[in-house]
Amino acid sequence: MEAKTKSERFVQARKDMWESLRLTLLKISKRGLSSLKEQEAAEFPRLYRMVCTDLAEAKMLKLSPDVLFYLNDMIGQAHKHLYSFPSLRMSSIKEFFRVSLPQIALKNWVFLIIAAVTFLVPYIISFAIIVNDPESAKELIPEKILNRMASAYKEGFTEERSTSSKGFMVSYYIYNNVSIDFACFALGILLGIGTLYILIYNGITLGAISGYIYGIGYGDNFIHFVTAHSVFELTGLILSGASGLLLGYSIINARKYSRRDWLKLQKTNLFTLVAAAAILTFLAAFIEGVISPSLLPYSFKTGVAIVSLTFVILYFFIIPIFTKRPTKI
Amino acid sequence: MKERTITIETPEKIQFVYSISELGTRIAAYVLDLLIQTVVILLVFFLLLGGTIYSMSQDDDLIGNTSKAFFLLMVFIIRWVYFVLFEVIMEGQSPGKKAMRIRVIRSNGEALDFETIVLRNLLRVVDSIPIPLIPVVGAFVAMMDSKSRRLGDIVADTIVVHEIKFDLKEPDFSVKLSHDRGRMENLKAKLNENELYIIRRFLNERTRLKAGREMEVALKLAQQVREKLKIQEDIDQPISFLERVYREHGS
Repeated sequence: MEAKTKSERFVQARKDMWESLRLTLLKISKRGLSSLKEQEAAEFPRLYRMVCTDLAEAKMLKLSPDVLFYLNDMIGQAHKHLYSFPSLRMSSIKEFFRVSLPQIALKNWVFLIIAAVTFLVPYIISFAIIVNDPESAKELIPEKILNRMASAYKEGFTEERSTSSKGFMVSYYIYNNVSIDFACFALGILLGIGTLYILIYNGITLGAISGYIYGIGYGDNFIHFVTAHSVFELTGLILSGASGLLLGYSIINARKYSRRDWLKLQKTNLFTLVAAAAILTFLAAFIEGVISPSLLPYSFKTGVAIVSLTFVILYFFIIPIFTKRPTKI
Repeated sequence: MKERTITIETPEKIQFVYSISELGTRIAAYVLDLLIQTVVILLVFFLLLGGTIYSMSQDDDLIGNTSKAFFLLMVFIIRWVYFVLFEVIMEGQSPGKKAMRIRVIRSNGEALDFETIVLRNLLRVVDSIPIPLIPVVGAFVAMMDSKSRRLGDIVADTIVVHEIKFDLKEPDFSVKLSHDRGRMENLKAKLNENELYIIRRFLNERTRLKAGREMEVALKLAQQVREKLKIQEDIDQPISFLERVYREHGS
């Protein structure tokens, strides 16, 4: 009979146990965790822990590399199944909207204010300059676009748009505005500069367009159009700006943590802000596509704006005070 | 190049390793995903175009607008939702990654969660500055990073690793030995398990080497073994020498 090495004796003693874990893993990867019978499911973590102990021992005994690889890969596979993606529970989604989202938004008020100022100041300046001298808008914005805007607001609201063209506008606003939100967040990685650029650029451009419309005398129609969706759209843009600024600032100043750990702690904040931005912009797109261009009276559109504003104030400022709960960071 | 690995510590305090995917594999996976995305968009585009032309005579406004709306939403979904959706339902993989046998994991080995997946994928925009869809920045950052992470991976604390082999190869200790039953007795020292593994592999796979190369490797191995074990004899037949040493080991 051949002599046996240390590794071989080690393997022989445990082979059967390893084999049953291997078969369980094979079954899971073919038919999923739910295909395990009750007894197998109970056995699985126990086998896994025993193989874990074997790997530790095998490492200590400095056994043959193929034994180590085998155990390593088996544990890796089992680990993946045991600690897999948590299924989204209804209760955690509720908790997210009821507690986390408004609290996190309020906690990051500094970034919200900076984002708001970075957008609004360029907007006001650009508006103020161009409303007094509409022709100068041509320095900033292609004449073609200005002419199209002018003719769009010239007529006022005389004819109801068809349902299908409203549908098209809704999807266009989702596509365009939510994309801007996401880009505004992502560009925050350039130490926040990318986000500032998007906010300022949008402030100047939108300020110039609205200034131009006002300057040439279609101001009433313009207000009539933008009132209803303005609250959600602005809040959305400011939230996405805040998420980008938070990202940039987290990289610049990691406080007492390593940059990596600090970013890890900020993940929930970042996700929540950008998700809130996307949701509000999404809602704004529906209002902008359906209510804003409709023939409904101006009072109705103002009503929509007031309701949205009340909602934003209640949700982001009042509710967090009453749902006080210790948060992580 | 040396294979780079990441060590994961399980809650049981056991460490195991994944090998980190190299940049080339990731680019291949990305190209595959891009291809799938392009095909889907083109398919939707031509279907809608066909539908629009076909029904032009009836109500062109309705069909045209609906098609345009649907198309824009489709582009939006492909651009922002594709990777998130697949990495959620395929637990860290997209179709391209699956084909290349790689997977996203969190660097501490914990399960991926929704916010991690969203963050790492939103940051794709920055990878493709200044040319959309061509991730020059992403590739550059990944090239510089010791774990091949792009910006999204760094922010979300994820790493892309090679999928652990599905069919595990059980350790095999059988050795192909010749008929010579001789042993190398009275050794002053012993080989360790790692060295025995190398000899075992050589003895099992030597016939796959070219004849000249086989002798060359055998001689080299035998010389090292002789040195380690302080054996005095000359090596005339290195393979038989290795076999005799191997037989002597064990109980």
